[in-house]
Amino acid sequence: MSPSRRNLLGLGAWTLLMALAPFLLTNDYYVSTLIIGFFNAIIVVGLNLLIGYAGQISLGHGAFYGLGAYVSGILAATYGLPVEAAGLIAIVLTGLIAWGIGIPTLKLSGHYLAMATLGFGVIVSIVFNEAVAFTGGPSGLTGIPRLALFGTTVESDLSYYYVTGAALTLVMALSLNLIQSRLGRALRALHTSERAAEAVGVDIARYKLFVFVLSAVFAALAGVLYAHYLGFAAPSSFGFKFSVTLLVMVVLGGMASVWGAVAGALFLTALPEFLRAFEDIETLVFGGILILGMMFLPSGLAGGASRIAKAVAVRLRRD
Amino acid sequence: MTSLLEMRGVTVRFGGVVALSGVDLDVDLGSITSIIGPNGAGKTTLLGVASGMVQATAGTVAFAGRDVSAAPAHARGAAGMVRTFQNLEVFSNMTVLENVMTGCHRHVDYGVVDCLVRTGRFRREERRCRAHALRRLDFVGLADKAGSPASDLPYGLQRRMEIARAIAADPALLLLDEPAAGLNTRETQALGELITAIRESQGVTIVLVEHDMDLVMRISDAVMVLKEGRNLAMGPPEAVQKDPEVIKAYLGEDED
Amino acid sequence: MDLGSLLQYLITGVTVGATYGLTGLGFTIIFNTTGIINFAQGEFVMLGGMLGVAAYAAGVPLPLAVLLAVAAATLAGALMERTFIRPVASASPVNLIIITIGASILIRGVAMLAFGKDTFALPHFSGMEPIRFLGAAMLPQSLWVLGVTLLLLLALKSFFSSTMWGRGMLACSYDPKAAALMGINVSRMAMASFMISAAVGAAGGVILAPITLTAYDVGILLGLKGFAACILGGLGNPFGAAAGGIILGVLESFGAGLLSSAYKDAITFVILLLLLFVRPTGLFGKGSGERV
Repeated sequence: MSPSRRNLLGLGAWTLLMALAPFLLTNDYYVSTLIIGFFNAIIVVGLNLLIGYAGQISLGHGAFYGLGAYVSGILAATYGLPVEAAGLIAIVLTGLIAWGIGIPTLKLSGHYLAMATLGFGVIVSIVFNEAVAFTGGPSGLTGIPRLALFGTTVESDLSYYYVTGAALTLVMALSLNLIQSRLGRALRALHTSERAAEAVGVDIARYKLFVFVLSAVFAALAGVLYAHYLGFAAPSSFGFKFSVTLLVMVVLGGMASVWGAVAGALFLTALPEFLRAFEDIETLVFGGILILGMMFLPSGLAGGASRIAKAVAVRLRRD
Repeated sequence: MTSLLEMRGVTVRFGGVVALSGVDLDVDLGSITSIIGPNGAGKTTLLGVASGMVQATAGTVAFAGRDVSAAPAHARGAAGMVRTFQNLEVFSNMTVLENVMTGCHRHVDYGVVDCLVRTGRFRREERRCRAHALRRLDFVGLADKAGSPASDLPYGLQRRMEIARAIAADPALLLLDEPAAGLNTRETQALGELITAIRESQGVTIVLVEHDMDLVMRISDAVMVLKEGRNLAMGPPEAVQKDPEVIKAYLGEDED
Repeated sequence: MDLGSLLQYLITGVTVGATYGLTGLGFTIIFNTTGIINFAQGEFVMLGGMLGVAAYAAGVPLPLAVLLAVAAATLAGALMERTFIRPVASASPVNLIIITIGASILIRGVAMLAFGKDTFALPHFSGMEPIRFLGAAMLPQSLWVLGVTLLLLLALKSFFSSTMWGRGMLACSYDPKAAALMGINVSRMAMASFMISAAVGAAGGVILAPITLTAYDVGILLGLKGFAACILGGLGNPFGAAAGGIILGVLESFGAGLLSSAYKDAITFVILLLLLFVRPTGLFGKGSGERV
C-alpha cells in the first residue's frame, strides 16, 4: 500500500475516532482535557517535523505558542479587534518573528542551535512577564473573548472540541502531505547528510527556515485557540518548562512520525490528570521519559508501535 | 566552448597547510576525465572546490561557460554539477527509491502549496519523478531493491545507489569521488562499465577522482595528475602512464 | 551617577560573574574531555547551595557543610556520567542534548522533592559587616567568592598542565582514539571530568548562596548564563570561560543598574544570542566547537 494511501486511511480513521470520542467518554471534563491535548498536539506535530524529520532542535517553542496566545489575546481584549482578525494577525506576526529569528539561528547547529533557541525562549518569556502594560505581567492577561468563526461564537466545550479537532486534523494532513513530497525528502535528506543534499541541489538553509517557520505557525495557531478557549494567558504556561514538555512529547511519540507526535502529545497531556495525586513526581517522570526514551527507545511510541506492527505482520504472513 | 568545467589558479590554504597551489583543470564536454595522484595530493580538495564545498583561497571555477566561483554548493548542484562522496552519504532514514527520488530534486517542478494540498501538478510531477528514479535504479541494476531501507544494502550496492541518485538529477557534470573505494576487482570492473554506460547513454561529462589505476587507464579519455597540490601532468592515459615525472611521483626518487 | 554606584555595580557584577565563570568552567571541562555540552551543569551549582543549606540545617558546622556539599555534588556528577552518559556515549548530538536535559530535569525534580520549593539562605562565611570604600560597600562574602574562584582557577590550571590526569583529559578532547591507544583510560577521564565540573560548579553555588539565596530551580538560569560565559570566552577555553563569566556578570549588573533591573536577565540572553550569531568562537576563542 502506498504511503499516501496509508495516510488517507489513517486520517480517515483518526477523524472518525476524534468525532466519536466525546460520546464515548463518560465525563465532560475529559472533553476539555482532550481540547488541551489537541492544542499540544498541534504544536508537537510541527515540532516533530523540525526535530524528527529535519534533525534540528528547538528548546524555545513555548515562545511561539505564547506569542500566538498573547498577540491574539491583546488585540482582541485590549484593542477590541474581532477574534478572527486578531487570531490571523497573531499567526502571521509569529511567523514573521520566527522567520526573522530563524535566519541567523538556523546557521548554527548542535548545542549552539539548542542554546540559541533556549535563549530566545527565555527572552520572550521575560518580555511576557515584564511588559505589564500589555501582557498583565506574571498574573496574566484576562478577559480574552471566546473564539468566534465567521461571526458565530464557539460557545460550548463540545463545539470548541470539534473546531480544535478539525484544526489538528488539518495540521496533520498538511504535515503528512509535506513528508511525502519533494520538500519532505529534502528535509529528511538534510537530517542525515547536509552535503549530499546540497550536492543534488537542495538549498538547506531555505528548507530549514521553512520548516522552522511552519512549526512556529502551527504553535501560534495552537496559542490562538488556547487563549480564546481559556479566556486567559499567563507567562508561566509558555516558558522553558513548557518547551521541555513539548520536547518530551516529541521524543515519547517517536522522532519522525506525525501519528507518534499526536500520540505523545495526547498521552502526556492526559498523564498529569492521572497523576494528579502525584503532581510532585511529574518532573521526575518527565525527566525519566526523556532519558529512558533516548537511551532505549529512540523511535518512541511510534517506533515501538511500528515494530509491533511489523512483528505481527510477519507472524500473520507465516501462518 | 568545449570545456564544461574550467578551473584556473585554484589555491586552497587550511591554516598553515597549502592543500592546492595554482591548480588548473579543463574538462572537455562529454569526456571522462580522471584526477589521480599520490596520497595527500589534494584530489578530493579539488573536487570540493569544484562543487563549492571547499572555500578556495584563490582561483576561479567556471561551469558551462559561467563563473560559479561565488556560487554556494547547492546552487551548483541545482545547475547540474552533481558530486558523490568518498565516504558514502546515504540517506539512511529513507528507502532506496526515496534516496534516488531525492536526486530528482532540481527538476521536480512544483511549489510548497502544491505539496501541501496535493494539486494535479503535484501528482503528475511526483509520478514522473518516481518513474524517472525507477528507470535510474534499473540502469544501475538495483530496480529490485527499490523498496528496501537504504541502510540495509551492502556497501557495494549502496555505492551504486549513490550513483543512481546522482544521475537521477540529470546532471551535465558528474563528479565521482573515489567511487571504487572498498570495491573488489569484479565490482570495480562493473563500475567501470557503468560509468562508461552513463556517458554513452546520457551524454554526461564525468570527472573521476581515483586510486585504482586499472580503472582509470581503462575508461578515461584524459588523466590529470596532481602532486602535493600542484599540476604535474595532463593528457591521454597512455601518455601520462609513460611520463617520467609521473612515475617518479608514484614510485619515489630511488634512482638518484 | 556617582563613582560609588558605579563601583557598587562593578562589585556586584564581578561577584555574580565569578559564579557564571565557575559554571562556565564546568561546561568547558566536560566539553574539553568528552565533546558533550552538559545541560545539567547548572544543577550542580544548585546542588552546591542546596546541599550546603541542608547540611548546615542538620547541625553541621558551616565549613564542614560547605565541603560536604561540594563532595556530595561531585558524587552526583560521577553518578550522572555513569548512569546516563556512559551507556550512550556514541549517540547523536541531538540525542545527547536531550539526555542531559532529561538529567537536569531529574536532578531538579529530586531536589524539589527533597527540599521543597522555598528559597533558602546560607549564613555568610565571615559575617555580614560590609567593607566600605570609595562610596561603595562590599560584603565580605564577595571576597570569599573572588578568593575561592581565583584559587580554583589556579588549581585547575596547574592540574591540566602539570598532572598526568589533567593532561590525559586534554588528550581525550583532541583525539579520544589516539588517547586510548596511548593507554589513557578514556571512560575514566570522562567520569573525572564530570566529577571535577560538578565540584567546581557546586563550589560556585555554595559560596554564592549566602548572597543570592538558593532554591531548587536556580539551576536553569545559572546553567544558561554559564554557557553564555563559555561562548563569550570561546568554547573550550577555560580562562575564556572564567573571563567571560565575569564580563557577563558586570554587563548584567550595569544593565540592571543603568537600564532596567526587570529585564536584566533578558540583557544577558540578548548578548548570548548576538554572540552566537556573530562570533560563536567568542572573544578569546580557539575556533573549535561546531565544525561546519
